[in-house]
Amino acid sequence: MNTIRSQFPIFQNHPDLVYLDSAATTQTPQVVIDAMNEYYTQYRSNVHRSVNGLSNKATNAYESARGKVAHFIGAQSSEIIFTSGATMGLNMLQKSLTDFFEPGGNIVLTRLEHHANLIPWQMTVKKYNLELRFIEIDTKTGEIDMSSVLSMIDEKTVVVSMTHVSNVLGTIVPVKEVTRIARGKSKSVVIVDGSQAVAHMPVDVVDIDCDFYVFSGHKMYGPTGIGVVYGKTALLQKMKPVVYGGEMIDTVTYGQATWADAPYRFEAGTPNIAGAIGLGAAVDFVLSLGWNEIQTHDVEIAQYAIAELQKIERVRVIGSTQFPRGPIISFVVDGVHESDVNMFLEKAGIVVRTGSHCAAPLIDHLGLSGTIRISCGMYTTKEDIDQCITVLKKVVVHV
Amino acid sequence: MNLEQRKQQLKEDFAALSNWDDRFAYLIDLGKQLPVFAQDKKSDEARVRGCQSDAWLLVENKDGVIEISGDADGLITKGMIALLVWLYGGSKMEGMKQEDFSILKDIGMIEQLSMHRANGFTNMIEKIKTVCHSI
Repeated sequence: MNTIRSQFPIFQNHPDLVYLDSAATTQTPQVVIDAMNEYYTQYRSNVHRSVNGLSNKATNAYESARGKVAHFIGAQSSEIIFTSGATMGLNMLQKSLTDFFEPGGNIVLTRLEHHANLIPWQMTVKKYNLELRFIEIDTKTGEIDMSSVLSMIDEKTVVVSMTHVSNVLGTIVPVKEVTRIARGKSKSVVIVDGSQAVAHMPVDVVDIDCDFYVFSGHKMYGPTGIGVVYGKTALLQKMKPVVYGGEMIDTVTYGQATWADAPYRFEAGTPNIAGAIGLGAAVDFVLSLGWNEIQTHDVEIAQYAIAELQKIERVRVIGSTQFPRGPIISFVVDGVHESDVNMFLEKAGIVVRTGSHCAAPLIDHLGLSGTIRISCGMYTTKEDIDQCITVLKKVVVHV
Repeated sequence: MNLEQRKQQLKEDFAALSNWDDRFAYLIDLGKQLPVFAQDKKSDEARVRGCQSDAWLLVENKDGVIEISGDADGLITKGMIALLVWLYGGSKMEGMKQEDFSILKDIGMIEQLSMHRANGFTNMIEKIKTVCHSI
């Protein structure tokens, strides 16, 4: 593990940093920084425009990154759209899919969703006179209630949009099974928000059979400001662009325009070239670690953290303590507001997240005011967990 | 004690508390002494933005004297409100116009207590400033 940690410059600059907030954003390995630095210092140019050596190199690097991302999730390059992140991806889909919405239909989400996969659909149901439905969860374990999947999805369902891994509870949603049910009962478009999954488990969009898979680069060791929408080719070709401008057109006159093929019709304007190249390097980084090592590490750290948390009086882990689950662990300290816990942790140099984690309705649904969330990356060590636990033990004495 | 004496007292108290665990404990104790803030006063206007916990602060001009009251769900945040109430509550509005709040920097409360997205403690101080400068 120390060799992995040494690849992240932040830990050389802050040797005492205890970073337990990787679900918010992961730290960046040197290889990703180097890839972006190389673009800026060696071949900075716009992509897909001029024909010259620099531009060719930039275009090749940008498209090579698209290929890496495609390979990473089992897709074709033409099915990969670069966006600014998962939030933008979900908003793009919400706007681009409007032709698929039939009045009187319904949109099905889960109770676990992040605001980014909730609010766009709230806007949609209001505007298009649809019904918003939620797949229920077991409030103790956070797991999806499969009977609720069967009852919520019906022939009038136009969209099923669900997280792959809960950003609050670490719950893994059986997205393949839900997609299969959606296919059997409806003609709905199935969207998976993989933001908390892609750094922690191999993803195969063909196997899941979802129509769209959305994620951010910065939660998988890539840069901020870059994300991905995977979409099935047949659907992408039917969808309308939502942002207009350069490079997304086929022909243009003063009176009208026709669109380029996917993915380019969804990438108007100069894209985040360095971001995409950085994301390609992040894909290489993750694959070089290997899923076996990643998943072994995730389970070891999460198991250790849960076990240590459960030893502290008044500390209650929220959600499942069983595996498989993601290395995102929410907890509360009974009788202590999460902001108080956070202030103690912050003073000790321990970075966690407290509050509703951009999933306020879920926190309400669980009957909580907020949680304290530990989330891990490949650089997280048992010593990090130990330091957090030491502070928590003090908190229960002081407060 | 007048305001200057209270500042001196606060400096001494904080100097005696060598680490943040003890300072938090001090603030929590202070918070426990905060008078009850009626539920119906917890209006949107009283709400303090930028705190990690829900917090309310009312700053009023009562015949030329500043009156501060409030509440928070988090005990440390509540303690911060109690500190402001104890330090500035009852001070003359005219005198408060010249207050630079540097005491809160001196004891490390402003720089040290960072809060997510926006700084709730700074917003509390802004509320006091706004009322003092409105006369």
